[in-house]
Amino acid sequence: MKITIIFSLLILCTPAQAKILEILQSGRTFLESTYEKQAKALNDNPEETRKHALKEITLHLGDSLVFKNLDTIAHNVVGVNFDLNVQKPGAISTPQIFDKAGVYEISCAIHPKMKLKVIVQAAP
Amino acid sequence: MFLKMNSRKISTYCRLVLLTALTLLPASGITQEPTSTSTTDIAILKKKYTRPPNAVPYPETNPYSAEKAHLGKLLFFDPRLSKYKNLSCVSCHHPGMGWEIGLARPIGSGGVSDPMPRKSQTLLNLAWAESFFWDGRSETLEEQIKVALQAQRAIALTPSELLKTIQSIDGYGPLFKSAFQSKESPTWDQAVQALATFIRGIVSGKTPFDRWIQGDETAISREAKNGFLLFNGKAKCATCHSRWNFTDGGYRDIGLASSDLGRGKSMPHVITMQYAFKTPSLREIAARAPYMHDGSLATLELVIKEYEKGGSVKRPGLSPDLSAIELSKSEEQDLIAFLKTLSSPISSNNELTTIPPMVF
Repeated sequence: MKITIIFSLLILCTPAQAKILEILQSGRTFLESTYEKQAKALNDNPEETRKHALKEITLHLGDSLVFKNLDTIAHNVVGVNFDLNVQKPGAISTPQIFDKAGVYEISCAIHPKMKLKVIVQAAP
Repeated sequence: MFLKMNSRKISTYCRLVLLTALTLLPASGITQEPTSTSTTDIAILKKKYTRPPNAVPYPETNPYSAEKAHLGKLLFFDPRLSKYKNLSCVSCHHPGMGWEIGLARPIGSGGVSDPMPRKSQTLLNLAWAESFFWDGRSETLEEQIKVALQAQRAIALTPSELLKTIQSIDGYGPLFKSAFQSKESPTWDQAVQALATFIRGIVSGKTPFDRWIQGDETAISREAKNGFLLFNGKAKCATCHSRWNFTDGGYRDIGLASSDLGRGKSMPHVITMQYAFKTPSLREIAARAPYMHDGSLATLELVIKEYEKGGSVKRPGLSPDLSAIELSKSEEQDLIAFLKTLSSPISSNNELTTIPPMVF
């Protein structure tokens, strides 16, 4: 019984494993990675792409984002304190860690309307 | 390679080979009608340039009303609403010149000794624009108008100076009241909203190109059709000048020799934004010379020559969407023939472009 309680407490106290999430760039929008197979078709249909655009994402402290350019044009993701520089079609960025709680807006410098709000939740 | 492809892939591959072959044909001076196989590809390409439905998108913060658009037009053309009462919005955005002006550095309130630093931009299709000015420093059209009205080299009026002039003209009072259903005196925001409502209504007219993509094969010449294929293929223009308004709204350094930092001024640490300027629409482009943000290229021929180099100046931020291309003389001419199909006919019945009577 005692062992079970100690074990349960240990699990509760261990911080959640930091995740790396992949964000797609397609049709001048950010998309969830689940749209990877549809990205090309969506790219040819701007109206449809916009409907699926990812506008906001919530992360836990320490999570990272990776940006994958599935577009036919280059992108350049910038945040308050980072600049992924130019990403040619097909390029995958290095993971960008979010280790401070808060709300951040990231965008493409080349396409200013391509925006993503990142909410980083503090550890409980 | 074919062994690893399924039938769909093979068919796509064959179509691509044919399409490439078609774009290469005129290099030898031969222009052929598209084959039946490539018709599918051309149909796919054409679809990408289909105009949006007729409804112009107006923002919730400044919805359309006919009264507001009418008032906006009167303000737009009124030269009394400028520092020296000698220019109006139309001085730099002329409907006969694709809603811009044929000067590399337009002359505003600074006179010829202090013209504007960059060429004026077309007002066409701004209802669909995502950011404003050559460097995208304004996020809304209303914000852009406020800057242009106050800029010393442009209209050069403070909000209170503009309102004082408007109030001195009796005829404007009732027009503001009816446009904004308000009993109060005209306000700065109302004047800006009326101007923005008029400007959002400036939509490019139907062109021969639009008729062609709708199915009228006689609307454009054989050369122009080949130019369209080059535009989307070998010449790579459509990488950035994409979709119905021929722009992806992006900002790029295209390697022009210029000391103007463009968008780099507001984003000093982003390498790709140094010397970067907005990718403009190409609609009505034939009427919009001289070209580029600095008006440095007088003709479309020179513009194409510039792009063939893949950028004259290879700076670190040079757009990777750009690369050197090789076009024959006849291909260059076909491209120009295509670009000229993006012009709509001038009409004296066009309510949008006729100068309105002065308000007294």
